[in-house]
Amino acid sequence: MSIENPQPNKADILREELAKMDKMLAEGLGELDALKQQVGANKSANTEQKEKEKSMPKFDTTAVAEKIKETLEKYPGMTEQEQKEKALKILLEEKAEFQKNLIENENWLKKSLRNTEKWWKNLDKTRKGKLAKVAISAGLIGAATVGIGMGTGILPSSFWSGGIRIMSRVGVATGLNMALTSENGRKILEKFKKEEEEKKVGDIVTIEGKKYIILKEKIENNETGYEVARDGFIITKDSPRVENKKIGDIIILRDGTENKITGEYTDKKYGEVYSIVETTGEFISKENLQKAEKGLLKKIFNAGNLKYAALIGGASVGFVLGGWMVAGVGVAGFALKEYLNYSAKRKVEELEKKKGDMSLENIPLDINDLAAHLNNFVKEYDDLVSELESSNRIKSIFSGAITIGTGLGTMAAAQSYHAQENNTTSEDNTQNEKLNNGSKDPTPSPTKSPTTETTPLPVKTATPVPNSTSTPPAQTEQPPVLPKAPIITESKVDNFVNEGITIKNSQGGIAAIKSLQAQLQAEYPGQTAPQPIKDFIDADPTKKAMELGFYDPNNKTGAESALIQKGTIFKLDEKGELVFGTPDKNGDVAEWKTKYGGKMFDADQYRNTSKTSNVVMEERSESETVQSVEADKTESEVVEPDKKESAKETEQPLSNKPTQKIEEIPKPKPETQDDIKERIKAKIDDSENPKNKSQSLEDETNNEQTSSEEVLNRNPQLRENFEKNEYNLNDEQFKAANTTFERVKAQNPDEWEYDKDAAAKNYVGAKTKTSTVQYLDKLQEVSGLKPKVAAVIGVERDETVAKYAARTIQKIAKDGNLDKIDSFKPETK
Amino acid sequence: MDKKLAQEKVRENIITLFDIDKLPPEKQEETISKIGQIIFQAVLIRVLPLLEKEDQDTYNKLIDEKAMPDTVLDFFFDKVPGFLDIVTEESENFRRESAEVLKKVNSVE
Repeated sequence: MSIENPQPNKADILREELAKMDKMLAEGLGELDALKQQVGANKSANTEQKEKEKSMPKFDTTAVAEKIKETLEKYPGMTEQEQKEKALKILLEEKAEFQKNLIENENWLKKSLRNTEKWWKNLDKTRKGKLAKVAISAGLIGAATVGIGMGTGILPSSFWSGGIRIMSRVGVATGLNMALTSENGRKILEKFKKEEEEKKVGDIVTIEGKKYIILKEKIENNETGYEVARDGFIITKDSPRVENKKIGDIIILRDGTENKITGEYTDKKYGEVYSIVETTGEFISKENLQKAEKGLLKKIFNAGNLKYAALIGGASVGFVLGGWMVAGVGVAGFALKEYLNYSAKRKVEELEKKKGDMSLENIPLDINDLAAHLNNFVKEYDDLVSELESSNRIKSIFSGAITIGTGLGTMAAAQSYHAQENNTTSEDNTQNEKLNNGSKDPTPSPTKSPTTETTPLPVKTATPVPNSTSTPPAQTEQPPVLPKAPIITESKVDNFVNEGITIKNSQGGIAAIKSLQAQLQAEYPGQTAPQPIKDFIDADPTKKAMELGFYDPNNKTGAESALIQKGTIFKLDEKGELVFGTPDKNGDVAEWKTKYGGKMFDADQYRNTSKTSNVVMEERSESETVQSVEADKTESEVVEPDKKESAKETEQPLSNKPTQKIEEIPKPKPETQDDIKERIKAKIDDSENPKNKSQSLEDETNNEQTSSEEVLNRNPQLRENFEKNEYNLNDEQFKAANTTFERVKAQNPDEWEYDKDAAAKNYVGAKTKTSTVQYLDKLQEVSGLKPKVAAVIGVERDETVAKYAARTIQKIAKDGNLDKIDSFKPETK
Repeated sequence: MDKKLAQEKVRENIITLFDIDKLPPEKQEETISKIGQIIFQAVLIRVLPLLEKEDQDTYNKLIDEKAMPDTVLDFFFDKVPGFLDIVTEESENFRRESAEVLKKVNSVE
């Protein structure tokens, strides 16, 4: 007999559901009761606390006043100021005593307060602690001012919603007078004076907000100065580059720079690291270094920083920049912010209306004492004010800001901040977080690209500094209304449209187009270029050169290229068309051309005859806007930057040089004299070898390689290692070359990955014989070819390790010497 | 309170009351720290009893470990709702008491 499962009827199901709900309800009610009890307990505790507070004895101001008066009567000769000092002293003592008595019976509280007292006192032991103490104290005092503002409706009741940031900001503002006139302030001013003094090797100097170390004293172009290299870079100890290395050893980084290990420590973020510094650096004259350091204060007070400081404020900034500086920056930030608000007419009216009687100018505050301490400071202010081209308004706001510590200024600044706060909350939070992170570790944070997390690459990458303490992140932000702030798009448009770009060194047609494109690209990072310029940047340089008549690959005489003379100006005319011309002695361009019709030359012939021929020069008419080469010039004259340019670079150490490593825009590293000599020699070597002539002019002869490209087309796998068939290798030779290339890479794959994109010139002949260095040395020895280096003006980059290997291996394959590479084994340590 | 009165009150702050801004620089720093200490102590007397035992221990630990003042304030902002109101009250309290004392000193014959 089988028993069937009875089908539950609807009533049973409902009963079951109901039972479940009852249970849940009971549980919920239980939780609710518990919560109620908790709330009740809390309420009770709060009420108890409030009752307790209410029942606390009040500070007897009458008794204290009596005591003060009695004391003052004992010393009738005191000045009013001395009387106030004495009164305050007694008041503070009495208040402290009163507060101690309040907690007489609370032992745990007494203990906590005793420890707090000790902690407070100990803060004086460090400069940082002392500054923080003053700032926070000022903040606590400033709270009263803000409190009144809120209580009287002058400030909105939501004012405090800014939390700790506004608190510390008020602290900074209120503390301005103290900070500026304090011992610390004086010390910092003295520090600026000292910075003008002589430097010595090993000193750290700050240029453009970045730290550099002085490597050695140097004389360049008859100027005395220093060779400086960026400081603050680190490399993780697990990087293969530093395997078996110790302090003092030399390592070569991926960017090809030679660096010395100078120290080791444990970084909070990256763990065990070596600090490293380049063995060769940039030259900066003593005069320029002084200018740079003198300008530091001004730079700290640049508009971006001020805005940033205003947004962030707080003691944490103090830990980064130094308390005195911060006080100034913080308050000046308020002022600038106020200025920014004022700059929009509607905002001016709105604020003026709000301010009413509260106008800063109407407050009779004596700032003479303060002013006496601000002489140097004010000079910097004046520069800034002048830069902002709104001297009257800015000055009055600054004056107002300087009086902030006296109370009403705090209010005005806070009001201004509050207005701004409502518009910038998210930005503020982000930046605050960044800065707070920075403040926890005042050590300049090295640049590190995201890739370093997975592959321990050296930190010198082309990644922009995200936010290091040494480079305040405000620089990423441009205040919107500063009159002299570079409005990138407009100014650059004007430059290319009106003034044009001048070719600084004579060069081939295609190279000139590339240079122009690179210069424009560098001036319009990202997608900021106006469309006509963007079109030009994106154009194929060879096609563009052909359009402009600078390159004619079909020329029957072999004279396929024009040589663009130094001084030629390129620009876009009002129609957006590219025109060019050469100015006369007066700087006037007689005719703007759209197509070149002058002499062309055979690049190969030119290479061989350039040192003697005057033919082209003689045939050229003066009015030609783009002229053929001045053939009587030596090659070095063609490529070497003129002294004026060189001097200009030296005069402007703050412009590009030090920041190139961390910019995304790929700019070539400025060449040293040695670099130039090396490059010229390499080019001469190449040009003297008939087989290399095609490379001397690089891309200008690309089209001639069509037939040899077919080998690559037939064997696409070769393209992984070879971009071009540079020596007309046949299939068999190319495959053999590829096998050799793979063998070289396989010798030390990790190292190859690091090195392949670095400049080969920094490897060949390097003292530290890494596997890559040994291979490149061998490739040079067997091929006789040297690495190519970047052109002076253009942005053609130095030949990379991979490209150099590809070229030399092809050459070696062509010469039938691959076995010399195949049999080579780099020595391992 | 009308605006003029408010303005008067604002100007009558701790610094102007005692002409702290006219003190020698080193004295200014010292004085401001002393006042800050008093206000901070007053704030602590109110906020420490509001903390849970665990948080009281954390506070003591912060102090023992010589934390920076902003870290300590951060802690209170995090743990004590209305902390800024307490700070404001205590700061204003001290300002008011100071003003009262000075007024009485000047008025007592």
